[in-house]
Amino acid sequence: MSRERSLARLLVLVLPSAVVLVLVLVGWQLAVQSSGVSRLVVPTPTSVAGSLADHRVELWRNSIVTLSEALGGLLLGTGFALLCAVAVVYSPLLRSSAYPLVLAAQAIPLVALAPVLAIWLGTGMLPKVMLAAFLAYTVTLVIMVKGLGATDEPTLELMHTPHGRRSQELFLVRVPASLPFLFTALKLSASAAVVAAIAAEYIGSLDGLGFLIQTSRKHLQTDFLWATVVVAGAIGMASYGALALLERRVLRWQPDDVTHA
Amino acid sequence: MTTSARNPVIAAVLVLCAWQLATMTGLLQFYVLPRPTAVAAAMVDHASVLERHGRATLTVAVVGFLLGVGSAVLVAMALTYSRLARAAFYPGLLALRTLPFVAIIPILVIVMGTGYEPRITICAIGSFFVTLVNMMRGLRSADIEVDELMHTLGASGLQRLVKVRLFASLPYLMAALKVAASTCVVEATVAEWIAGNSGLGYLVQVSGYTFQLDLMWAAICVAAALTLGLVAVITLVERRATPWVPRSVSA
Repeated sequence: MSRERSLARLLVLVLPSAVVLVLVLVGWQLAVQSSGVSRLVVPTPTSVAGSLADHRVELWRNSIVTLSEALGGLLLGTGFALLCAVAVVYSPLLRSSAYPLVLAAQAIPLVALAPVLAIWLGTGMLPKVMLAAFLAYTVTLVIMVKGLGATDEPTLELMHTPHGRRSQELFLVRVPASLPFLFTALKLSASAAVVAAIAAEYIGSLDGLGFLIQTSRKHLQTDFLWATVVVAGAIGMASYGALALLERRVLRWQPDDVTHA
Repeated sequence: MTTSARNPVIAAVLVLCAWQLATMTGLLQFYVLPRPTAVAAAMVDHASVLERHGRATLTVAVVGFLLGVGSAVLVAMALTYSRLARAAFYPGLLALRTLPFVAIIPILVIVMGTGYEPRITICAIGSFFVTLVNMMRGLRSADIEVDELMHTLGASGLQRLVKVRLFASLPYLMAALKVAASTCVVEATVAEWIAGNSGLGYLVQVSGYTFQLDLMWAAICVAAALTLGLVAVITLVERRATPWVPRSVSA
């Protein structure tokens, strides 16, 4: 495809959304200014932008805290889930006894455990990391058990010829087959980890975006509250987007519109 | 009891026994984990309190769920029907989907007060996005040849949308409903932490502050039971609504 054509395609893709975004922002600004709603209830986009600029140092510092909590939980939960997924795939006993409990745990509102974790682990970063890890763990385990099983039978049988070893079956057949599933799991876990970190920060913390949201709400700094929410949104979008880009890089053979869950 | 159900039950009983033993021998202090029997006793003792708060959470979750799912189905149909609407709104909606929704609860509380409204709204938003994405995929999964045949037979665009595409999207809708049901309870709970004087999330937090940890765990168990109950109801609906989908695949 020529460069101009791909540029034109990009324009067609982005332009309608950009128009809608601008209309929404302008409409919002005008609606707030003309309706006389108190700035303490709904701020204007310009005052939110102003607050973003004024508080940029504070926002940056607390974003790093929330990001590290989410990232730590994501790595911990995903890593442990990968090990467990391999164990579940190779052990019929685990698959029939412990795995259904994890499936059931997936339906439990794990975020409700945040107050418990605060009692156990205090108000530092650890309870947030653990909550994010719990969420990432359940999401990833279920998806990866499916992924490691998503091999085609003839290939598996080929590995069962006299010279095929178990480790070869795992690393040459099952792991490559599960890669698309891994990315689906990572994208879901990343969003869940950010949610977990912020939710746990609501319960008890002295820094992080959840803490900023709580304090700015209590002090009625509504524009600062919105600015923090914008930053939280940007983190959510960026983490999802980064993983989606990485997925495209790593899984070139996959068509764009396939998801595995 | 079938073999497939026996092993997980044995595993669950073993976990509970180990937990009970660990607390009885002092390996785990009560503030770390109250005994399972103490939690069970709290459920009986505080049955009326748990029922009242459970009812509040259930109301919020179910109303939010219905509003969110209903509007998502309508929006997905509109976006499938109109190319312009899809180009203008769908990329933005996809981007919004990645927002951490717990972050906007305080904003909703400021705008709507501390009643049921912000809680219902956040549940609705959560289930809206889960359902929307799946419905868009489901509506597009329709067999094009069937669609073309209907077109040849003189079916209107709306008829084709309902009879071909909506029908094809049912399994996708059912999968979304299960995810949305559990998200709804989570979102209701978190919203109750922040604003509210009722609901299981409120009860968890208050009993945590006052160190009634048996009651706190009882409330968490009720929240889990609510989620499992909602998912079970949806699974039943799913079997009724899409009997042609093989169960082992959709589970």
